[in-house]
Order: sequence, then C-alpha cells, then structure tokens
Amino acid sequence: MSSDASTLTLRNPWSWYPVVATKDLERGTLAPVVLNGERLVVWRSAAGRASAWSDRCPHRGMRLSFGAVHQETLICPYHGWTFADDAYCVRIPAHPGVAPSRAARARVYPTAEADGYVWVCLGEPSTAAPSAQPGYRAVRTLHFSHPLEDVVAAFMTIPLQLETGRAVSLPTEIEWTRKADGPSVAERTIASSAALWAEFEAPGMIVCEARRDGENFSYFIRLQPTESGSCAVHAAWPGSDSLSFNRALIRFRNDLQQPEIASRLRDMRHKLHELMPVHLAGLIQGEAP
Amino acid sequence: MTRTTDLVALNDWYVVAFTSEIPKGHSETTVLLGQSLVIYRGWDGEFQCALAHGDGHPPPLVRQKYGFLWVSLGRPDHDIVSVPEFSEHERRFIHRGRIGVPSSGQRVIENFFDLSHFSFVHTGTLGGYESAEVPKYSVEFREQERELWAVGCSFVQPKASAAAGAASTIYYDYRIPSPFISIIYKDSLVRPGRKDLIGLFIQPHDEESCTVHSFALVHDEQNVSTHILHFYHEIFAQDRSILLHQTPKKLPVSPRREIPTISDASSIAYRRWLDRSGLQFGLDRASA
Repeated sequence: MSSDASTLTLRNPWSWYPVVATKDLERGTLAPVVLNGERLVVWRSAAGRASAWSDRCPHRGMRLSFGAVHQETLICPYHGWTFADDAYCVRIPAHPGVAPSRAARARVYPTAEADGYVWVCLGEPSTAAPSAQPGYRAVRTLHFSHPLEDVVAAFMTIPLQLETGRAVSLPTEIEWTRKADGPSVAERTIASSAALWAEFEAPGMIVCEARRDGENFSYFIRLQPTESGSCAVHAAWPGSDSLSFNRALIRFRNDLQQPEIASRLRDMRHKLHELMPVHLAGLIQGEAP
Repeated sequence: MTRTTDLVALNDWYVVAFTSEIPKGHSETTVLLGQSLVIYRGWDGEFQCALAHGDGHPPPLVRQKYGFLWVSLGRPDHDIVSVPEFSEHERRFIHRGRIGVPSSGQRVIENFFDLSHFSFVHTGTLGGYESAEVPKYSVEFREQERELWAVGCSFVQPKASAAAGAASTIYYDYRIPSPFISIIYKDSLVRPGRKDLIGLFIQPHDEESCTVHSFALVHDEQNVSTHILHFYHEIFAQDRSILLHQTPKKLPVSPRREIPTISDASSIAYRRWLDRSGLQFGLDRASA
C-alpha cells in the first residue's frame, strides 16, 4: 500500500479501512458496523456483491441493518422500502404501481473486496483498493475498548505470545528505522524473551514479525477506527493453526487491561510520537494521558 | 436535565400520571420538558404539583381529566383536549398503561398515525405482506388549524383488534389535536357503525425521551382486560423496536432530510404543521 505521506492519518476519510472479513459476510446476510463514528450497514447480495451504505433508511431514518437481504436488494424493516444494489429505492410496497422518486436513495460508500476483507472508504478514495498480501488468511476480528492510538502502540511494541502461560513481554529497548522511500516506519523491539519487528503502514496496517524459539512468525494487523475510545482489529496470518493465533490475540487483548501495561502503553505512545517523522506525528498523538 | 425555554412547548397541557395509580397520601417524582416535578396526592384525593427546582418559575397548573393528571408548566391559551366520548359511557375504558420510549414524542406520534408500516411491523395483525398498499386518504385542518386530521384511512387487517375474528378492511380517522396527542377513531368490529378510540397522551421528558400514556375506549364486552392489553402491548412492543432505532431521535422537519411518499401525506402535514407552530422542542430543524 502506498500513498502520499503528507496526507496520512489514522482516520483519514480518503483511506480504505477493513470493516468485516469476507468469510464473516455470507451471501444474503448483512452486518452493522461502525467506521470512525459512522454507522454503516454492510451487506452481501445473493449473487455475492458486497456493499456498504449509511445505516439509515432515507425515508424515515430507520436502521437498515435491522432489515433483510432479499436477492440483490436490501429491504428496510419499517415500511418495506426495497433498495437495489445501486442504493436506489426500486419498490415502495404502499404504492406498488408508482415508481419511487430518484431522491429515495441510501447513502453509498466506496466499497472494495480484497485480501479477505470488505474495505470501505468514507470519502473519496485517494488510492486504488488495497492490494492482496498473498499467503495471509483473515483469522478474526477483535474489538478493543482502547483508543486506536494505544492499540497501535501495543501491537508495535508487544509481540503476540503463541504459547499459553507465558507472561506478556514488554519491550526493554526500541530501535527505529525509517524507510527512505515511503511513509512506513520500521520499528524494532528487543524484548527480554522475545523479539518483534513491527512495521507501520498507512493507514492503519501493522506488519509484525515475532520470534519464537528461534523461529520467526509473522502476522498482519489492520485497524478499523470505530467509536472514539475503541477500535476493531482485523488479524491475519499465514499459519494453518488459527486456534493458537486466535487465543494469542485474546490473551493480548486481556493483557492490555493490566495496570502495568496500561501505564507502559502511555509511555510507548509518547515514545512512538517522538520518534515518528513529523508528517506522521499526528498518527499516534491522541489525547494526553 | 434542563427545563426547556420553548414557550410553545411550555404553554401546552401534558398528562403526567394516571390518577388511580397514585394512592392518597403518596407522592411521585417525574420529569416534564426537562423540568423535575413532585406530584403529591392529598388524603382528600386532590393532586398538587410542585417544581423540584423552582428557580423562580411559576408553579405548574394541575387538572384531573379523563382519569389522567394533566399539568402545564406555562400559561396555556386553550383548554385540555376535548374528547366527548369519555362521557358517552357506551364504550369500555381501558388504561393501556405507560411505556417509556427513548425517542422524541413526535417520532412516537408519527409512528402511531402511520399506515404504511402495518404490513411490515405488525405482520399478521394490523397488516400483511400481500396487502401492503395504502389507499388514498385526506388530510384536514380543523378547529382553526388547532387540530390535524387524517380522514378516510382504510387498510386490510388480518386481526384488527383483540375482538377481531377474521381479516377485514378497517376504516380509520386519526386526530392529532396537539403535537403530543393522537387519537384513532376506528371501526368497531363488534358494533357496526360505531367507533372505537385509542389515544396516546405523550409526556415528553426531554427532547429524546418520553413516556406514552395511553387509553382505549372500545366496544368489547367479550374479552377480559388482560387479553385486550396483551394485544395492545404486542403491537406497542413492535412499534418500540422501530422507535429505538430511528435516527435522528428528534423529528426532522425538512422534507430533504427524510424523503416522503404519497402515503406519508399525514406525516408531511404533521411536520409542516409543527414547523409553522414555532415549536422547537423535539424537532430537528437542520435543513439538509
């Protein structure tokens, strides 16, 4: 993924964000999602096309995610207004013989499907849809009740622990490498018992490589800003053993609740902020602790 | 919660309690238009109402009517709505209870007189998927524009009331005598040619939450009250599931905010009527 470094932020309206894993959105179903405070309904038609609209019927403001997918349409639960996949209303059951007004249209957001995710852009996309990362599989989506900036700091400085029973390993030393040719920041953590190489890419993607018993394993973390003070993490990895990866993610999230880690996270966030190049500083600024 | 400064809202009458629910010698606190109130019922059965935090505002006016307790925080230039059917004694009075709704009173009123949701929200009782078409009806202003009416409404209903045995076409008139009151006059299935009444008296707590006080005056000597209430509560629970999930909670007045269709004639008229009344409380006045 590449884009103009000077326009990057974690929550910019011209970037693509994953909102649901492809495997979690079956044909004929829908999902309510929140992206940067906007409530969206993401739905997949019987033919397989995924769309993301504002979760609000243009008629009387009802949440469309309480409705139903029928063939290639989405139906509002309040008055049965039926919207085609271009978001125009095609049927108003109260008036079967009347063509609906062109004003009766749900708000549509640019949507793409790539690399195991449905991606949404809240504004005009500045880049093509995200490209595939061959070999990685979307494993799961976890919701974190931590600010996005904390979660970035956590994934960039604390490696996932695949084995159970091992204490969370906090970094003792952080080494930064700035890539010359793009917006990425490569960051290396050397922890007491594990090592982590984490690379930050726009707009909220972290590529991690962690060492376990002399062997390296890698994973992708993609961040979705949801409500303020919380975020969703879409995690992917190349391994076949998704159970251990899954459990590691849940332990990771639980570990963030520990007071010791919470205070370290604040330090990490500030440290990252200091070390980030000026044009990226806004990425992890957040609120002062 | 802060008391509204909207004089149009303040100078109206609102139901705040069902009188027989407050025993003599008891008091109750409630909120109307952002103002906390203490209601006290004396041993003589009479009610008093005081502001919990006065801040120099005049004491509320209190009246008992139709079995409900009515309060005005301002200086109303009109009387409490006249519903002569309460004194006709040919119908059975049913207190339908009070139900809290975390939305504006106007969203509740609009849902109440909306015909086109019957088939989707009240499937199998007030409507059905196969008969969703809304026949034409007309909208009238009466009493010097003081009241809005939707008359000549009709709908095919699989089970129009607790007393209904089979599907039938039901004729209705809707009366909206104040922004926060609506009454249905609906064909009785038991006594042809007579009307049953169902009414909502809304107590707006703040702009985005209210309590719905409700009554029915029906021709039904067959069903026990619990059975009739079960029917009503099923209907209301279905409506509530919609009201919880509409945004914004305040009612938008601009037709560009929410696109109407032909069957929304009463809703369009209600929103314009509210707009013209100068009411601010509970309305979303953003233009687009």
